[in-house]
Amino acid sequence: MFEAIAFYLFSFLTIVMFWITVTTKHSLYALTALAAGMIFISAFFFILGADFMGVVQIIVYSGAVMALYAFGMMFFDTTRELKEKPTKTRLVPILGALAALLVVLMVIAPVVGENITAHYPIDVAIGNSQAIGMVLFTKYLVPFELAAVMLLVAMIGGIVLAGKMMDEDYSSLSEEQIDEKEGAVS
Amino acid sequence: MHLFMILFPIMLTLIFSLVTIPLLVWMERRVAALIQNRLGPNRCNIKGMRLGGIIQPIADMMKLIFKEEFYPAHIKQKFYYILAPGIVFGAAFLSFIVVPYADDITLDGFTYHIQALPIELGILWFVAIASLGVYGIIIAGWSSHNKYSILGALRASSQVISYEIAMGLAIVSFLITYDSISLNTMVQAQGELLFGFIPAWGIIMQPLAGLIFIVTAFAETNRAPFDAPEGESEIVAAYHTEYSAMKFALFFMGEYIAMSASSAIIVTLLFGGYQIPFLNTQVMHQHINLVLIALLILVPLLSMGFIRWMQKNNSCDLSHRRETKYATILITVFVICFESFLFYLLSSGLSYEQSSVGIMILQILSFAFKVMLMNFVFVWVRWTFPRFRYDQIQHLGWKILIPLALLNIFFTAIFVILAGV
Amino acid sequence: MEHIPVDHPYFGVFLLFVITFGAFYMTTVAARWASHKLAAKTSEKIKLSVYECGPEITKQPSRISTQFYLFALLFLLFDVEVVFMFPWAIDFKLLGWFGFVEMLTFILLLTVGFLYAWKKGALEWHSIK
Repeated sequence: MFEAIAFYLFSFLTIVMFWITVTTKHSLYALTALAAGMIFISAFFFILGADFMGVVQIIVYSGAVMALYAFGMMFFDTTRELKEKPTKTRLVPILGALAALLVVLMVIAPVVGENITAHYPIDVAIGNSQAIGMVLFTKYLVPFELAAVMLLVAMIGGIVLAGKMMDEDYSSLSEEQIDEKEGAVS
Repeated sequence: MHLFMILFPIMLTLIFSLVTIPLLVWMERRVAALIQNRLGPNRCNIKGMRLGGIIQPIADMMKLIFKEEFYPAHIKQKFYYILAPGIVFGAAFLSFIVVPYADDITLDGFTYHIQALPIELGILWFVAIASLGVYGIIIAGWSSHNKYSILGALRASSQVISYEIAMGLAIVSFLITYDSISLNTMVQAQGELLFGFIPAWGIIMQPLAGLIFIVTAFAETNRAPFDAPEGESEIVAAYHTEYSAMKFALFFMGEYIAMSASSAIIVTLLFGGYQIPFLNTQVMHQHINLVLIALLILVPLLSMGFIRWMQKNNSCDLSHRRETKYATILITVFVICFESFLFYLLSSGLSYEQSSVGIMILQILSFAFKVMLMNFVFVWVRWTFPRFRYDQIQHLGWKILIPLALLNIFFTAIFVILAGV
Repeated sequence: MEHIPVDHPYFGVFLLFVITFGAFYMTTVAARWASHKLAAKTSEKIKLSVYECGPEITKQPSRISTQFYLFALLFLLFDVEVVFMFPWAIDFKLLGWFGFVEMLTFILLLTVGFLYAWKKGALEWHSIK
């Protein structure tokens, strides 16, 4: 009963938040709504008893990914409304709807097809995070190490992309030189 | 009874987070005065009762409530402008709730956790919610439309995220040492004795990780020496430049709650949490009568010392002497009541459940004492060290603390495997 | 007695969340009421302007150092690493040498990236030097 109420409440809130994210023209609203939606998603993990996933959802998505977005947003003036000039007004919603339908089908097919059972049901004796650790570090060893490679690639790529002018020192340049450089960049 | 025991830790959370705010404000100002060799707030009184200046924060609070609340004309997103202090306040408040205040207690066949959120992943919850507090600062910086605000917000969020990694890595070495992620289990492990005579506190088991954790906790709360985000000599008051009255007070309160929560987590991880040194729950259960006798002797001695100290220091004029007299009478009456209660308990003998309730109260008091001591360290550090420059903050976070924490994990892991525990 | 929501571990969070929200809302409303009714009001125009000096108001800076963005990026990647380390640390005694070598490879891979960032100067603070 309690869990059902919580589930519907949080589904409603999540959908509203993501709806705002998609429809708003204001970048600040979009960002904050997305962050709130991410936090509400973690509630589903808590309801399912997957505490670890819930906390990780908050730490990684709400904490880190959204902080990255927030810094990205600070690069331009957030007070102005974004002027979008959509050219293909039909195609994008149709494609989006199709993609959503596909995801729903993918998720719902095993549920309808047969009675699904959990591969690793929650064991009361050992904790949630302990169980995750055991699975992750024995069965999914290779994906785990591949994740490290992926992170490495992402890190190097990010530094190369974001830090083109990393070795230049603005404080040793004169005002005119800085203006010149800024003009060249923008 | 059942409902009360469930609501009890929640009430404790409220007390620990909200009631300590005026105490902390008072402590900050008095300790600052002590360190700088001046008097500090000591004039504010209600009918001559000064209580060492503790009336002052109440007066400050009244002042903030009755200030004119205005919205600067250039602020467009009023919703975010009002929401921001709420996020800071709420995140600080919610990060407090995972702390265990006392050992698990069994009453009427139910086992209760004296923890408002009795989940396993307490420490992860703390990290997660504490990092959400950054949003309040970012939104405050944005919605203020002030260059100082946005600079402060940028500095604050960038500092918090830099130190969060080192904090996580320090926590990992604690997890390896205690072999558990539940805060309560960690505290229970800290009740044991190392080599038979040293309490196995986190700071003794993991000195380096402990130090890193304390430093990062200071940085996460934006307290000095890591208060470049609100460095008043450079960027006015940073993200709360444009805030006034109660909205400013909410920022202020959020900061103090965050400080209190950080102290609570530091105490829980490093200084044995609610454990009284050398006396864990089992030992206290076995020797409950000795504990009572010790209290019987200690309480009058301590109160006597306090009364002496007060009479010596609080006697410069008539009103001070009157206050001292009242306080002396009050403390004496309290001590007499307490002593007779203890005598009654000793003569009638305690059942198991009664003694566990008594132990719980003692543990909560010990926890509160340790948290206040840690808060004192926060204040002490603030008035002792100068502020770091911003590049020094980033240098310390990325180039010193993270490699150190990784090395610490490495050596801890090797040690744990070789010790074969 | 076992199925009432009170026994749910997240009941405390829920209650505290409600209390926080209520307290925040109440303080906002009460403070607004108190300041409207009781506080001394002045209607200076300069009070409502941006808090800064100079005859002209500068706009909110839209040019922020990329350094901040880079720190956020590095933080994101290291955060994922730390999150992977938590379950490893809890199971450490069960996994033993196997888990140790496994995590060592993981960390070494990320350390390569960290050293690259260090070498490349991504961790320096340039504008102050």
